[in-house]
Amino acid sequence: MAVAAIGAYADPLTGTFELRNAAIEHDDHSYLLSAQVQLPVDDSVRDALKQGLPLRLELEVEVSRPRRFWPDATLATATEQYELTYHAVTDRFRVDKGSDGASAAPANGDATTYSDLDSALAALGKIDRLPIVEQAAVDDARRYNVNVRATVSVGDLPATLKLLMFWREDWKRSTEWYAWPLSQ
Amino acid sequence: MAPEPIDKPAATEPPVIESLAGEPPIDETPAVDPVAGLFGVGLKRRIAMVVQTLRRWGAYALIGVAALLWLIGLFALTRTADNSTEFSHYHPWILLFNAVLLVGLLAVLTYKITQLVREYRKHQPGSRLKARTLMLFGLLVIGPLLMVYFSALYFLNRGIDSWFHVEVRQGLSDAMEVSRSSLNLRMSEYLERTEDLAAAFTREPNVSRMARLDHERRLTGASELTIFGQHGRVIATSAELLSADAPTQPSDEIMLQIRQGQPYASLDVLPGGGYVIRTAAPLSPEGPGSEPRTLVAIYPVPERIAQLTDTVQRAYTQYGEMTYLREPLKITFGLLLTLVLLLSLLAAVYGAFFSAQNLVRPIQDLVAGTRAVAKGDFNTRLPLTTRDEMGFLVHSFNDMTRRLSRAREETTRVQQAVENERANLAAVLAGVSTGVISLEADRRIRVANRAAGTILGADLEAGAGQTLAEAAAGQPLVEQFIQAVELYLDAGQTQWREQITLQASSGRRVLMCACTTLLGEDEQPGGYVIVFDDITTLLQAQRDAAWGEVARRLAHEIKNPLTPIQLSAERMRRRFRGRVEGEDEQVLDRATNTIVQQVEAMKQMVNAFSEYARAPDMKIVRFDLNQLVTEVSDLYRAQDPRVAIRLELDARMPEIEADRGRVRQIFNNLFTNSLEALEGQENGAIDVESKLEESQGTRLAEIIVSDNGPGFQRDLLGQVFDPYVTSKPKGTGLGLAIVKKIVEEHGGRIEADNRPAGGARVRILLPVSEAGRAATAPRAERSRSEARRERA
Repeated sequence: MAVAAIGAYADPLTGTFELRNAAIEHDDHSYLLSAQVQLPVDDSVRDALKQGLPLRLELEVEVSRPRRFWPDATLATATEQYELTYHAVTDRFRVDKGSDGASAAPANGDATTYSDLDSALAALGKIDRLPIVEQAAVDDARRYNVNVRATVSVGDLPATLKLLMFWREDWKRSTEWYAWPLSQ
Repeated sequence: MAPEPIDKPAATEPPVIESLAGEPPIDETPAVDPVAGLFGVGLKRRIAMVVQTLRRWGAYALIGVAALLWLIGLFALTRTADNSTEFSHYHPWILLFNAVLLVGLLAVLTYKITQLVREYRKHQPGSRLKARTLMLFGLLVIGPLLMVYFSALYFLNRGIDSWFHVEVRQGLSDAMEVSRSSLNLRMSEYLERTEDLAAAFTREPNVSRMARLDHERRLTGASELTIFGQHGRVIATSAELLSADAPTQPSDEIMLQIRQGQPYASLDVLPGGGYVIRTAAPLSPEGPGSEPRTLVAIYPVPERIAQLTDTVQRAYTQYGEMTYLREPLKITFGLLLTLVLLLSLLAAVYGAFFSAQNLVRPIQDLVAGTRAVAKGDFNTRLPLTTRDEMGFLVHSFNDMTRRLSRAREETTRVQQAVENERANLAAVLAGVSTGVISLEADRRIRVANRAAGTILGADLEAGAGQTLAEAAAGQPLVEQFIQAVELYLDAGQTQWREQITLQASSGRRVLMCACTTLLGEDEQPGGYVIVFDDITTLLQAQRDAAWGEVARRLAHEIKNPLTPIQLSAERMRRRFRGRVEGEDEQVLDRATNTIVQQVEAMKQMVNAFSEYARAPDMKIVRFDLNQLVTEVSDLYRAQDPRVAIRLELDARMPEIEADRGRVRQIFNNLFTNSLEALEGQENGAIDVESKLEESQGTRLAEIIVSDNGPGFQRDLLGQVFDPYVTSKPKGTGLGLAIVKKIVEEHGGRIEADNRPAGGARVRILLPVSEAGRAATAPRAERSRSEARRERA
């Protein structure tokens, strides 16, 4: 039964999954991260989306200061959760980029609808001037690193199911940590 | 024992199980410590009992806690199944906890089952019963559990599958279609209105746009009407709600479509919920080269419809999710169910184990206890654990072993007493001088004491079990004795007392014999006890005493008148010698001479008597016996050279303690006797032999004087030591009597018999030392003290 299930749901999240065109700039207050996430979306993911399952993108950003002979000091961390859902009645894709990382309820926050999936995916993967750390917190004399990792997951599993489905890794996938120096 | 399992047990009680606990026997208390000796056993046992009780309660508590944990785990697990958020944080922990519980149970069970298998292979008592009980319990539990499990799994899968019926899917699709078409209808209606409006605006280009927009908005029911110029420039707008916000910019999508000259209509979801229908239509350019304009109208969707649409949407999404999660859900629920099943199963098996162990342990104890009792250990006591029938059984067992051990103690005690009594009796029998022979009913010798053997001159002690005839073979005394006794036994007398005279080579032996028949079953004789005493010496002593008395009287009564008789006869002779003549004188002379001579002879005789009857007054000195023998023999050798006197003396002979004069008297008398016996005989010879003997720790000097004369007359052999018993024509008959007297005074022994080759032989045994004399001859002492008393 388990084998059959794995076979039926073989690797929907395959394909390129990476961060592109990352850039860090700063305005008067904060450092801002812009990038484009290339999402590993293939037909099975499209089917799953069409069936109503959400596609979630989680972005973990961490600003750290490397230290010698010592673990790096973490200056700031941020977690962004974006969600792409398909609205069957209106036949539109909806991208929810609630900046509130803790609860990504689709009801509040900015939501935009798209009639086609590709533009919706592009909108989901676009990271546009995301504030990562306040300028005041950064000591100009030191060097900092910005570490970013993206995680994509399909479906909204209950917590228990998530835990029990440890043998199914295919509903969730993460990139490795990307690291750039924080240019001042 | 078991433990160790919880049994085990059982480790310091009486040798119960060992085993099972292998509990050491408590009787091994070291005797060194008096306190431990006094209280050690009780204290140890009490401590052992307390420890056992504590262990038992500990085990119960542990089981209780485990059961509680198990219930909590199960409950939590079931709560995780419904997707409640209250537990969601603890889900990993709950799962982990259950898994740990599972692994723990598995480990315990594996250990227990391995143990059971090992016990089973070793044929340990109770293991079979335990295995069977476990199997039964296990089957009873596993069967229903598996049934419930599989039916639950089946219904679960069926339930999940039933969600995905074709009808449901179709219904959902249809609902979706209906709502979509209803919304589309509304959308096309609104689009038509927008297009109409756009056409109207085109037709009347110069109207006041703002007023017209407001008017038209109210008319069409739109929530917002905006005319956009190029690049999203707002030319005119009218909104239902006055808000500071600028009208929503038309999306690229709208602009793209408008630029292609197509009207646009879409249903949009509002961020705050609710739906709007967004329509857009191009306005004809006001003139060539003027900027293109677009009319965007936003219509609200009625709340009711929005709600329904939401419902349909939600149902669709959920259904999609379900479809997507169908198999994982099945597997997950199956896993959960399996986990619960395994937990229950293992717990049930463990429970079966526990109850089987509880059931079997008393039986094991009983088996071990029975084995111990069979081996003879009656101190076995089993621990009383329950108050049910099994407890009653254990109690009865303990009672039984207690009684058994008490009975054994009693038996041992009685046996010991009997043994003591027997030893006592044996000591008494060995100590008495009376001969005792106990016969079986078939007249086999059961027991004979040493004195019996001594009296009859045979080793009867070793003859136990022999018949009388066997014992008598080659033993003339025994033979005579048995003949006499059998005479009475055959006569059927149960109790008799007779004097028996036996003819021994050394003389007559007179026995006083008494017999008692022991009555066995059926009044038949069960055996006989014959008691006899050698009264020869007693009779002799009586005779001796009588003779002594006679002698004294004679000495006293006869000796006194003799002197006046002699004196008178001499006086008569002197007086009448001159007066009578001739024949008369001769008669007188002869008569008086005869009187004087006979009186003299009488005096001698009376003196000899008085010598015999004289009270002993010994002067004990140490002297060389061999030397004395040599001296005396030299004297007699000179007296009669025809008789050869041969000496054969033991060089080891030490100096003895005795009255030298009297011992010399012994030899004098013996030599005189022999010489008299050899008178007139050719080749007469006297042999004197001395030897050092050892008997019962005392050293004895043995002297044998023998001759080759005619020997004692056979019929007189028993009386040779009596006074006036003589075979000689002359002689007082006191010689040997006096020898015997002296020997007895020295605590010695004397025997007289005839040599096989002919001739008399006298054997004398004298103790070498004074101490030895006291030990060997109490009789002599007695006679001496009697004599002293009389003299006093």
